[in-house]
Amino acid sequence: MNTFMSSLKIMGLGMLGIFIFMLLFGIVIYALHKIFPGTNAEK
Amino acid sequence: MNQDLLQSLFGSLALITWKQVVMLGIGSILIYLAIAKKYEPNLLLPMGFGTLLVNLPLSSAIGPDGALTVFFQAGIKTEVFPLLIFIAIGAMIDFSTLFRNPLLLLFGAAAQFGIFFTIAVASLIGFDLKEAASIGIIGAADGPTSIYVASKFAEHLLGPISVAAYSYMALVPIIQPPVIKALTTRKERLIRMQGKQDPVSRTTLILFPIIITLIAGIIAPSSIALIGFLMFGNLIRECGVLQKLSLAAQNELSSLVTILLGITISSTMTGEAFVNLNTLFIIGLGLVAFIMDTAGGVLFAKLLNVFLPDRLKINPMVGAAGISAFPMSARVIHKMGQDEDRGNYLLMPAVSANVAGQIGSVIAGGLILTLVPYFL
Repeated sequence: MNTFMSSLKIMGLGMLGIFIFMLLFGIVIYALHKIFPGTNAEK
Repeated sequence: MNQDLLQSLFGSLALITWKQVVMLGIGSILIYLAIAKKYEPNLLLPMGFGTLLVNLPLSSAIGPDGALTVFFQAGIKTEVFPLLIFIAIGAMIDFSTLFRNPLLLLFGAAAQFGIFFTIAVASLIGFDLKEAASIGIIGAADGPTSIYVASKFAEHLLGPISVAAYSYMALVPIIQPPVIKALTTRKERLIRMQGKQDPVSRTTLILFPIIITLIAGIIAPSSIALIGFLMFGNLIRECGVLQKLSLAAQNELSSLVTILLGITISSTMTGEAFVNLNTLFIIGLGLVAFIMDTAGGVLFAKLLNVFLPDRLKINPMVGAAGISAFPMSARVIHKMGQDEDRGNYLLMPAVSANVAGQIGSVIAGGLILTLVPYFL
């Protein structure tokens, strides 16, 4: 039962961690895209 | 004299066990699936042939001086082979599709749910935490990540975990559609999504892998090898001055390491290690992981739609492409969209979600490596 409880905590922390990472990456992408906008020549 | 000769030539046949016979059958099935069905042939064929090699009695391929054992010690135990594959994968990924719609990054997170769900189920069945984590990571739908985590936490389960991971990746077109259909209405499947075609600057594409490596390295140092090698491969691709290296990583490096990886993993697929109840559990749990990944992605899209205005609504099927099986999953979603409405082109958003899944699976692997030791 201890192992199961640990696995549930890993589930919570793991999913939270991935979403935080992805949000951070999204912010990086958004900022880079705004600071260095592409030109049609680069498309 | 003749009897002695026959004895020395065919004596090993008398030593064969029923488990080895079963494994010879499994090896043959893997070879058949790879050649006749084209199920992940790059990996399943070397694994199938390697399985034959290691299950012949008195095989010189394994053992202290056996070539496959030496490869295993040098390439899997040291994590060199999976990490080299990550360079190759990084060189193949085009992140620009993701830059056009960063919201889809979230599906790369949601569709990792199956990993953690399966860890919980595996621990309920009786696997210890390290074994459960190694089994759950099958849901990353990303062979090298599964191999990397399993080689750190449960080396003895590497064989069945690899077989399950690669087999289910090949079976994505069979596994995902029924789950998606069960969780969506026809009206939802008909949602059209607007594709964006903004140009992405070269500076952005170059800075992205560097910044991501720094962020991941600072927040979760255990994940740095996984993410760093992936992003290094991507930097080679995007920097624009290493075209030869980029092509070599995508082709020669990928092919060579894949051959070595496949045949080396088979060294763990001996009858004694593979033919047992745990293998059946692992194969079953791998399927659970893929199903729950798909469900996680679809249900998260439905949740987002509650808050999004009509013009920005997401086709929930795209959520299922948040698993890492690239580009198979994106193709499946696009085809399902076309089956519902010939004019609905979901390929671009599905590819974006699929690319996000490739990042998400590596992050999930890194997080598991970080979290599990805290709970032991």
